[in-house]
Amino acid sequence: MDLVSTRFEKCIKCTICTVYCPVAKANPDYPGPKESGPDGERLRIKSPEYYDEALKLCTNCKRCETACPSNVNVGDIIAVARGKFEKKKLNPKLVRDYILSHTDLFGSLSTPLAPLVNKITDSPIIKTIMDKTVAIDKHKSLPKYAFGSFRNWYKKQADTQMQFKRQVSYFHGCYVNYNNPQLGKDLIKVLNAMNIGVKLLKKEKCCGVPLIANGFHDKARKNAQFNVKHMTDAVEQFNTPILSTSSTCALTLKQEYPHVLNVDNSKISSKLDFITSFLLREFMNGNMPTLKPVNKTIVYHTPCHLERSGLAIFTIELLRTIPGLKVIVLNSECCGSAGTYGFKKENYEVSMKIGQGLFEQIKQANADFAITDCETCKWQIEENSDLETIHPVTLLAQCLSD
Amino acid sequence: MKFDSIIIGGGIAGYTAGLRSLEAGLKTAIISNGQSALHFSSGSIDLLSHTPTGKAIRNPAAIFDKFTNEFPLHPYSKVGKQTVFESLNWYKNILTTAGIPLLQQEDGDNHLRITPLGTLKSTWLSQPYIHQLPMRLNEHTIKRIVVVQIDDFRDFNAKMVTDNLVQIPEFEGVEITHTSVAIDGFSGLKRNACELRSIDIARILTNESEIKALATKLKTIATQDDLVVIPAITGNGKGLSVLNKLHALTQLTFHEVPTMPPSMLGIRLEETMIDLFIKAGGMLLKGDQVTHGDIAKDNNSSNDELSLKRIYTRNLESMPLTADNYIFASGSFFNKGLIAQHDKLQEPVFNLDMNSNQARSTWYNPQFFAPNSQPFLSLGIKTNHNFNPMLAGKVITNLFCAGSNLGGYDPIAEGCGSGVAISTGYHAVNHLLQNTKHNQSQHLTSDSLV
Repeated sequence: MDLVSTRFEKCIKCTICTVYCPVAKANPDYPGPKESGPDGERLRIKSPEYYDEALKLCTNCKRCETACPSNVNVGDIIAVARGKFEKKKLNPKLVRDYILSHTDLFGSLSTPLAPLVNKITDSPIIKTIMDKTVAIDKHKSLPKYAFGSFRNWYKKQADTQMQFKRQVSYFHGCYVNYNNPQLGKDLIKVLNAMNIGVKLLKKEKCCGVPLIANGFHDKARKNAQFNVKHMTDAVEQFNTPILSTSSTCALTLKQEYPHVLNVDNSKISSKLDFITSFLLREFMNGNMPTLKPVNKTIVYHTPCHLERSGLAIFTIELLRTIPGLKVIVLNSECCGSAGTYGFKKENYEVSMKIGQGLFEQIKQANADFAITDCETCKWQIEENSDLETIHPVTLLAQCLSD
Repeated sequence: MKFDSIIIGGGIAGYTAGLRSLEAGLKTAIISNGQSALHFSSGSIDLLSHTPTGKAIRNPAAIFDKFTNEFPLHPYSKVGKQTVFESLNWYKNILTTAGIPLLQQEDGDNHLRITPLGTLKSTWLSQPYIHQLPMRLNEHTIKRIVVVQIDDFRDFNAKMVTDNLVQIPEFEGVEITHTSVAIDGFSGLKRNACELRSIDIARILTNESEIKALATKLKTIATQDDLVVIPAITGNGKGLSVLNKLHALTQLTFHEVPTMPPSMLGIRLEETMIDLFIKAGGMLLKGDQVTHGDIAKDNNSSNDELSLKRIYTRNLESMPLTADNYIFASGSFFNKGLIAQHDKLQEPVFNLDMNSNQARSTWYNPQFFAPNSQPFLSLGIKTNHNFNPMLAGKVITNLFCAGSNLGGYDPIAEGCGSGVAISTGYHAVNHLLQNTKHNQSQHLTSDSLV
């Protein structure tokens, strides 16, 4: 199948996508999704020379696709073109892009030494050096690593989890494995309270989204094939649903694999579910754990990729089932982090400009904490609004009656 | 998942219905497949500019009873005079309170606005920087018109506007000129000039120093006695505040005209309605699309009537959405609310009955710019007096149609598109409240949103 094909033909050149592009809004030099996507594609079919390096400014947030009245997959067209035509230049930024995007490689190297690594990456001198050498912006804090991975912790739980009659498989992703194992533990706590045991896939690799965003498409495709194989094994062996707690991993496994990487996931696609969608269905079918009332006010931020998947409704309705919780849903805006994008020196300013509207909304809301389903949104919001930001599953775990 | 009301379609009719439904205390969702046709609109609200027979209307209220007698199948005739005017006042109030003032003539007359072609069009409500010319055009007080071209901006042609304006007999004796100004940040963009749109200028004009520089240039080309016609190039969330600043700095009288898409004037309305809807607790399913629904016999009805049980969307796949009542505001041909097949017209979601089964050759006038417009604009879904559609002749009692998927009127030739959208969206909520089981607990108050 030729992925570029002629999907752009549905585009009527109305420019609505560009109106809602967070990057075009903050950086007038970015031609915007219409020009980079469907318009550019017409030309690129003629000759690869028409490829514009400005496409690397795209954050892959997919807001163009959500806004498009003609259902053109604008973001996919841009991502595929980048995979096909982007040239890697050998320079310090390539080293940085490699480090930022190979999340599982650096995660597995860092977790055994987490206290040391975290101290090093947090030191102002190291930050300045990274800023000057590999262009990781000095205003950013690199994600903290956990001391010991989630998978390692899980090994001791596997037997207990087997005891449950009902089982789900869990694609934990790099963030839970290396940065925030507590979220994985919270998930197990919540599902166990609903009499559901949690299995892990025999093996998993990074879903591939940071690799796609940094132009390492071949590596991303290999990861996709690897993950699809292990997910297929899990489905064939146990016939479990496969859940994800990361809105971006979920979108990637389900949509980016076939649309951007040309990896067939059709055998397991219907088994993939985002966690809040799974939980809300269970709650609605009567399988709801007892929750303590929380007299708190939260603001909910919809991550771009959850908005594109159309699944924010599940998180919002799930939050509304928690007794006593006041839920303020924010008008959805990109936080500007866009995965690894905001960490890069050349993007930092644009990233902050993109997020400004959201930070202001959050500050005005005067909430006890923020809730979001995406890890990089969490980092960005915490760094710029001083409001503790947690995953909906973590909130649920805190509400469980002991 | 269960709602009190679900609105299919996020355009002006859909958001009107959604906001009104929230006001009534109903749990409400809107499913919107991309941004709406407001992005192609003037941002003014038309009520009624011409009768279906082509007669120009000066004061819609004055002729309304006559109009409904003469055209009983027109949506306005089904909604009724009181609700039509009530709904438009309600719309005007909520938008004005939310920061987009909508203004009208004190005597209830339509007003004329200068279009991007330099012609005049009649409308009912306009944003603050739309200059309202009287319907009795010879009573205008304009001394001089300066049409402003923005350098390097190709979606607005000041010379064409000028050339057309000078041909209007009532402007005889008015000096009409055009001139150009540069916006430095815009002219400095290193991008293909063919691809620069109004939104690109709007983004440059969020910069205070660019606003000041533009104000200084405008003061050199026009005076306070002039009407300064400029393309609508401010938006992106702060459109009106930028214009307010330009006005404060120059004291000039501006008239904004919509440009080629995207239209900043229309975007202001849509942004404001979305913001109101989310803040009032509405559930917005953005970028999703209803694929089909389950329709079965209505158990509450003794007649042979139907009811919509649940709907399915592209993103939620096997998870259906249910509601007591549904409002169908899916738009016209442009929005894929109606589809023209080679041999028939079709409503693609539920396959509802259409108001015409005539052959394709009757849908259009071979002369594209014919004065009496195009017949396909009056084609649409067939509905009963309550705007319930039909499936093979059987009424669906909990589904209400609103806006441009309705048949029986011509939004362009009659100048009534947004008025029909607002009044039918508003009216649909009135009807579903009568339908809804828990309507004793709901009280409609006009200020609960604001």
